[in-house]
Amino acid sequence: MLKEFIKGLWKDNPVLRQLLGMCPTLAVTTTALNGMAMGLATTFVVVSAGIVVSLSRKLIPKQVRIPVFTVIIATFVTVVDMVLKAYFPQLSSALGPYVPLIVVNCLILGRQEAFTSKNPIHLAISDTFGMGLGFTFILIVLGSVRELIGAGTWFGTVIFPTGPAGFKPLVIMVLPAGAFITLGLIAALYNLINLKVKGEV
Amino acid sequence: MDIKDKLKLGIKAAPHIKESMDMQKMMKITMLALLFPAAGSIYLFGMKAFWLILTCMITAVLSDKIFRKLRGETTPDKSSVITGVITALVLPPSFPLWAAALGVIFAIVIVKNIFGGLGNNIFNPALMGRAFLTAAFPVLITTYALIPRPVPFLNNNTNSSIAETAATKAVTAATPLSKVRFENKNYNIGALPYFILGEKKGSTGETFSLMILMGLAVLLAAGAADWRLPLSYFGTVFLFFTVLWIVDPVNYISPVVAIFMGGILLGGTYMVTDPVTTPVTPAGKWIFGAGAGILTVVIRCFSGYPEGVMFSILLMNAVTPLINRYTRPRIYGT
Repeated sequence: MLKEFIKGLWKDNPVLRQLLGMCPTLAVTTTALNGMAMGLATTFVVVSAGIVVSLSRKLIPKQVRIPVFTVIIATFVTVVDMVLKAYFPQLSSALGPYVPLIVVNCLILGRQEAFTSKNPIHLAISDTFGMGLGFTFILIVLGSVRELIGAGTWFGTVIFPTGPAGFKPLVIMVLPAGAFITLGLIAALYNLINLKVKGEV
Repeated sequence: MDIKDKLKLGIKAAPHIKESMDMQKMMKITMLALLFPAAGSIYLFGMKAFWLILTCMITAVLSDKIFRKLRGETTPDKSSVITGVITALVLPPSFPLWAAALGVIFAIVIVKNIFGGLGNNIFNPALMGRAFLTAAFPVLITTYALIPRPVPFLNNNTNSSIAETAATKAVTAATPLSKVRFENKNYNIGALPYFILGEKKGSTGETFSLMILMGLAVLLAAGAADWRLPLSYFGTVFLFFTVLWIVDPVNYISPVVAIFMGGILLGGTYMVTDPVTTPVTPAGKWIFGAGAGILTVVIRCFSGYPEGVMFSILLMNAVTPLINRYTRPRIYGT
């Protein structure tokens, strides 16, 4: 059970190893806070959907499983969307259309298809929770790098004061191009660490 | 005694064919051709341009050395000097040195070396460095604070009212291109001598058109650049501007003047002729030059940007592998 939880954090990390969920990964990580919010929302959806799919895995006919999974996921996304709108309106508007788009996040559907529809509930929870946290972790790292270099702040706190004589933020980092560059470099670093651990470099 | 010592045979690795043009020679010629616009920019903008070029050169060589050492690369590659100089030439002369160094590091490490080093990069490193800086520091890259040295013998001629207005207009805050784009300014043929002799605002290397033409002559005469690329590029730009000018001479600049504005000459001489990022087949070279020319004019005249040379060449760089594939020569007999 612990093994299923751990693998999502590093070894089978959804972003860096499986390269799933690229759309929210690249689009919303302009700040660390946005990245964390998107990561936690996705974690909630993937775990809840995982529980329901795992419980009803023997009831779902094989032929229509994908639409059924999608409907289950969409239910929880609607819950997240409404909670965000009601309690965190600022965050909700910052994430914009990317909250409803969690429905089509291939990471979530991928976990149902690959794991929860074939495993009992306790394994399903640990697997999806690990995946969700691994996703959140990378989104926070990505958001932090982009926010620090692109705006000089971290979670909204000023780290490098900008000004005529101060830090000049690289605007490119909060633009889409900055997301691609940062993600590429982080993925390269991830591979390098893995190779170093294996002793191949 | 060993047989090879007796026969005085040299043992060398392939290739054994003596070709008149090799990579080292090509780079020397390119360096020589780059001396002209570099010298011209130092003449026009003084020590600022000198420090900018020097900073970019040193940063390029150092970052290339460090990164290649980290990767354990051993093949000789001295192209980083050229990348450094070209990057300096496409930046505004008043650009801060630390930001220029950052752009050069991006060009050398990310654009060139991560894609596999010399000969494997998809995009022209210098232009990509500028594109990176354009997105990173949108204000700094459009600030042209330095006024170029006026042309000595032309400014004494106060009788010509055309020359006078052209001269004063050419040295005000905005570049001629942004004036055309955002203030509906039109330049007539009287502005041409000023534009050719460098009395216009613009990037460090693009202002002194005459020097660039001399660099182009060196490149073509020495055979370091294929004539098809600059010819098709300049030709397409000229034709497109001519069509626009004939249709609407009030709103569009005369093609003769337009070709001496902005980065068309610099881009056509040093970036369009880059042997790495442009097609290898003759037909492909024509397509590349024509495509870049059309995109340059389209971006310059019908988009939010005043200049389109950088983006047009980068876009054509992206489709270069495709052009190569479709213009592959038919094998004889098939």
